[in-house]
Amino acid sequence: MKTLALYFHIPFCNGKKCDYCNFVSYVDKDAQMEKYVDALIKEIKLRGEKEGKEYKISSVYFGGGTPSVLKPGMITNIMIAIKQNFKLLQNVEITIECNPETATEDKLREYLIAGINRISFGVQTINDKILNLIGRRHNSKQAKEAIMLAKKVGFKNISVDMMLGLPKQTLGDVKKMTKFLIKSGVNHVSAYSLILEKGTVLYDKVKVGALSVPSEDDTVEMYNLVYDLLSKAGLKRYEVSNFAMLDYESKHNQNYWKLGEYLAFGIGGHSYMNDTRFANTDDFDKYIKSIEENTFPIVMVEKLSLTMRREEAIMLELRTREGLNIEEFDDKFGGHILRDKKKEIEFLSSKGFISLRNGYIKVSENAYYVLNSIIMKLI
Amino acid sequence: MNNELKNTRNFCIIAHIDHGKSTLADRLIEKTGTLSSRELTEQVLDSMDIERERGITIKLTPTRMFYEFEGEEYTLNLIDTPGHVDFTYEVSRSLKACEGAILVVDATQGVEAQTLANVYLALENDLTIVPVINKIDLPSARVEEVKKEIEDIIGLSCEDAPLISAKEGINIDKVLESIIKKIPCPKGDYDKPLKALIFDSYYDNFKGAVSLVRVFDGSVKVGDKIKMMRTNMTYDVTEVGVFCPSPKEISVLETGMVGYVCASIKNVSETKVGDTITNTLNPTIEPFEGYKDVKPMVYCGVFLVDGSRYNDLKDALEKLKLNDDSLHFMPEVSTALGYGFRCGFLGLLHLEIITERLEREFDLDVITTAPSVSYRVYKTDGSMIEISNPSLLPATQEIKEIQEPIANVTIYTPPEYVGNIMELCQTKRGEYLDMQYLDKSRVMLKYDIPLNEIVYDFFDGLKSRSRGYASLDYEISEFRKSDLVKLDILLNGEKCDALSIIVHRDFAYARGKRLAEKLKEVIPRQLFELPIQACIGGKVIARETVKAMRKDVLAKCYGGDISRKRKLLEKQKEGKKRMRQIGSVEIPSEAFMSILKLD
Repeated sequence: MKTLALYFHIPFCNGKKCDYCNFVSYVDKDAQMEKYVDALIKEIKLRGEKEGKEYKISSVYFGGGTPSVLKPGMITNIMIAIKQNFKLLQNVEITIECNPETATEDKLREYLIAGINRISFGVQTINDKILNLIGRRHNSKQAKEAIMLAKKVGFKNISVDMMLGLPKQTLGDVKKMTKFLIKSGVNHVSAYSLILEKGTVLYDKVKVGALSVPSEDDTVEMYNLVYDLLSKAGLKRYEVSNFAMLDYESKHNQNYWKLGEYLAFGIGGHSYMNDTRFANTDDFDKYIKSIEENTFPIVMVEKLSLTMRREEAIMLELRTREGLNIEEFDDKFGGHILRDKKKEIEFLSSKGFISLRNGYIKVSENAYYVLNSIIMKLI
Repeated sequence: MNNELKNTRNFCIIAHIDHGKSTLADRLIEKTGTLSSRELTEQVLDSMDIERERGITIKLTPTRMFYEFEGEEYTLNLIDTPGHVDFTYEVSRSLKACEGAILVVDATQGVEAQTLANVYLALENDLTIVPVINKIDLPSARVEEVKKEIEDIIGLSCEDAPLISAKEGINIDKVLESIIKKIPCPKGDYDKPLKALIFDSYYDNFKGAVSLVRVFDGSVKVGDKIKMMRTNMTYDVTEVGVFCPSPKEISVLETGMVGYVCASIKNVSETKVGDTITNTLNPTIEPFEGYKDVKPMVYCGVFLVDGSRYNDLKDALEKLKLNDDSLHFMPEVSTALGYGFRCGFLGLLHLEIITERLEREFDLDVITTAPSVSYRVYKTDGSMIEISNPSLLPATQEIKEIQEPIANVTIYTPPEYVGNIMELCQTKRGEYLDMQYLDKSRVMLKYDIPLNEIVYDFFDGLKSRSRGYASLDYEISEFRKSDLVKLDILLNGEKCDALSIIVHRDFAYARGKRLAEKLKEVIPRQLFELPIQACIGGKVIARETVKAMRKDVLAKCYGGDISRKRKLLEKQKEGKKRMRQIGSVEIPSEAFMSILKLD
């Protein structure tokens, strides 16, 4: 039976959105949470009728927004609906994103009991000044406590998000943060560089010169530092921005990079099934209305051509430690990449950007940062 | 005097861009009932896009209009003129076909540079100038001030200048009245041998090359045997006619008239602007003075972003050439840019217009190399070659001397800018010849300046140093020996032939440095560190480095990001088609273009 990953978008935040965030999220619709969760449960049922029989679920992911702002019992209800409508694999990975300031012991216990076995904290940095600058509402103390609490409650699989290239951030900050993560015993770290998205508070602040962010070169130095420290501590990079102890790599995320199928629920969710990508509306009211009328709130459908899938395969598989499996790739898409891109591959490997080993094309550790240029040469 | 001549007026309109030349022309055409406003719109839509957008007239379109004034019917021939130094010769021939000019000045802007240049040209051709103040309907109109400006700067009385709004159609009849009252009627003799001036020509698929003419003496009709006095070719006239404004056949073109002559002429190169048409059997003695064989002054390589469309480029150039004899081209091969053409133009604007037409009318993405002039290279073996492509310059040891074309430059300017302009001419290797105060508002400066410097950025410099008021005219006077060197650009150690330029040794260092700096700005970071070197012979005179790309990866790439990211890649891939590969370096086509816009 085919496997499928499920994603649930929880578009609510605690008080305000972070200054760099461009995800679909509402800060003023707490009153509508109940409505939304009801709609989600109904969408699960609708999908279950359609896809529930054909697939086994390999992973579930609650992302946001801030899933942990949902009221007690809500996550449990959603989990029950999932279990009723889909078949979960024995070793299913179920993750919830959680902001440190919203993590209470009760909530964490509820998640664990509901079947959630992985928690991902959005800590970003433990420099309180920077946290304040980027509009996060937690401080370093809360972050530390949240991780402790999760461990105490019984979470074995804890991930932390950190950000690089933040305003005023120094190599020293990054070092401190990374060391803290190692010490606190988390087994998964995602290190993202800040991307200034148009329409966010932070973008505007940087644009008008009210804030400045570290240069590209400085951000690369930060990444290198994180890589060095984490790999020494046993957290190995398995994708551009992701580091994990052995066997703690995120199944859910790996599924994206391996072009696996996934189904997204809630507003703005992007799904990929049968070589087709489709997306839900990101309008709250339209989403609710559509579900109430028993129709999927899909606003975009894109059937991927062979070329598109080929390009995505290069783009995604090269992100990973494993790399691109040449034989599989040639089988799937026809042609011989080694021959078709001979000149480019020779150039890239002679300069040390990629290596060819055991039938895989793999991006070199220090070349991940210029992955885009590498991909451009290979597609 | 014959009544026909007495009631004919031949005139043109002089105006700065946006001061309302085409609008006024349209209004005159409408007011005289030559075309209805609906027909006018259609006609307007037909004309060249570039012309419309830039507000410069490229192709001259004469129009015959009839107007009744104080009980008499008048024939008014409007001859439109382009307004740029590249086309000075064409303008001067058009002006020669007229007795008067309407000077349109925007009541909100006042007298501007381009106006002055053409006014001077009109004055040189002894035209009567009728000032007209336009846009009086605008709240910011300052009629009295502008009147005074015209009187002070140009020395024209504005006492009874029509105050109009071409847009709103206010006082258009006053303009017509002024044309009739102030502009002299044409002089000429019906009984003398035919003497007609070609002031433009165009190619028609059915009629062949069509000459636009002003008849000064005699007449011409179908069946006449005519001779082009400069080219010495003879033809049988197949059609004569006038423009209303579309061509309309008539039986005979007589003294004082403006119209066209067809004679199964295969090529516009045989209908040369400024040539004199006469009758073979009964020829006039002297052709018109001032004829020039127009030669290209500026050359550049024209290549394609998509090299596979070479044949389309060839077809397009051939088509443009049909109507534009001044455009020259021959095949050229560049290691960096592939197959293309070395093209010769009248000047930089002509170059720009042609490349823009290639892009718009023929849908070609073109890359042009830095403009160059034609040099005479005397080799040590005693031979001489003319070179307009810097990359073809022989090796130093084979060169005895290089001569460059020297332009005899005439600049008209208000006196306050004389100092600035002289300084500019000095820095451009100019040799001072003469300065005359023509009147209190106008100074004429004469310099010999290497054409190479004029092509580079002289015109912009002149504009900025005179706040746009100075006007420039030039012609090539001679070739002069000069200490010229070839400046090459090396990217990652490989010579990029398309970026080579020929430059005076004294300027080589500064130009090389500037070129390298500019390239550094426009060449995107590559996967490796990229040295940019400017060299003369084997010697590096300037160096810049494009640092290696450090980070371009998208940190997050999950479900919702994937299609967005792929679309980004697709866009980049599309952009890659516009990249040129020089060795292992990828250079955006735009980089080549931006070299033109140094400073």
